[in-house]
Amino acid sequence: MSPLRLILAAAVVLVMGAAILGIGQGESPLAAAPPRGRTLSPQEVRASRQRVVAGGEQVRHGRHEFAEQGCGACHTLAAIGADGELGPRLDRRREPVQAIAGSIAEPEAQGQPGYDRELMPRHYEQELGKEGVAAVAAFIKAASG
Amino acid sequence: MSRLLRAERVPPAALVLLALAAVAVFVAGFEHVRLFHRGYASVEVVGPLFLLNGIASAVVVLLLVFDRVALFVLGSLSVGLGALVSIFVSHTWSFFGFAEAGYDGPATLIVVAELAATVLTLAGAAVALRGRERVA
Repeated sequence: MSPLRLILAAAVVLVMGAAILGIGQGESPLAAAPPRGRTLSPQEVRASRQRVVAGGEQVRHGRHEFAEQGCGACHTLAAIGADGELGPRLDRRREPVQAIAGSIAEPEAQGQPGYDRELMPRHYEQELGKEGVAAVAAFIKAASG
Repeated sequence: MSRLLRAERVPPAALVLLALAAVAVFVAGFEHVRLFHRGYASVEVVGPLFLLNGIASAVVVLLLVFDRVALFVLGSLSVGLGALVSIFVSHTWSFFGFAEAGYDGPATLIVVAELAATVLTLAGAAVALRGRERVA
């Protein structure tokens, strides 16, 4: 076994091993994320579902797009059983619906503190159009109350 | 099976192509591990698969370092094609319930690296096989 191969093998093991152990990767953005808050009570979940059902055509369209785009894989929204943790939870959003739409269309500009904005796809406005983004925002707002 | 495990020499041109493929495999694996620590660890199934991709990539690169060329080709194609298919599925439908909407910087880097790894591995394997036929 030549020394060059041994050095190469050691370099691969050291660099990838360190990466796997998280050495030099910095702190995970989730570590700096605000507490996810208590789980919604069954009454709150029921109320949230009722608001979604009563929300009309735009909210129904938003709910469809939310499911279609797989948003629940990264976000928690108890009303539809979504429990993702990669992004901020969505069923306690208190800001106006326009601000929610802005954080979907331009996450790099309006991302939530403590979460890695790099991970939120930037193509929703292009993919869903302004109407689609507004519908998803209306759905989230309805679910949040 | 024992043939797969045997160390073998390949023509220099094939070795260059396979070495470049190994670099691409390493880059893609490293980026998967980086994303795992940037938050994907919390995504069920997909998160651990990112970590597995990094471990598998390191093992595949080591196979080439130790001249297990046939195993390297098999491993590189398995990891590369597996990742590309998974990425395509997650962007088109959903992969274990996880759907991606677009290709941001890290996703583009991974796709380019996995594609490069697959193409270079196939090219390297083709050159190595041709060299072997000539010797025979």
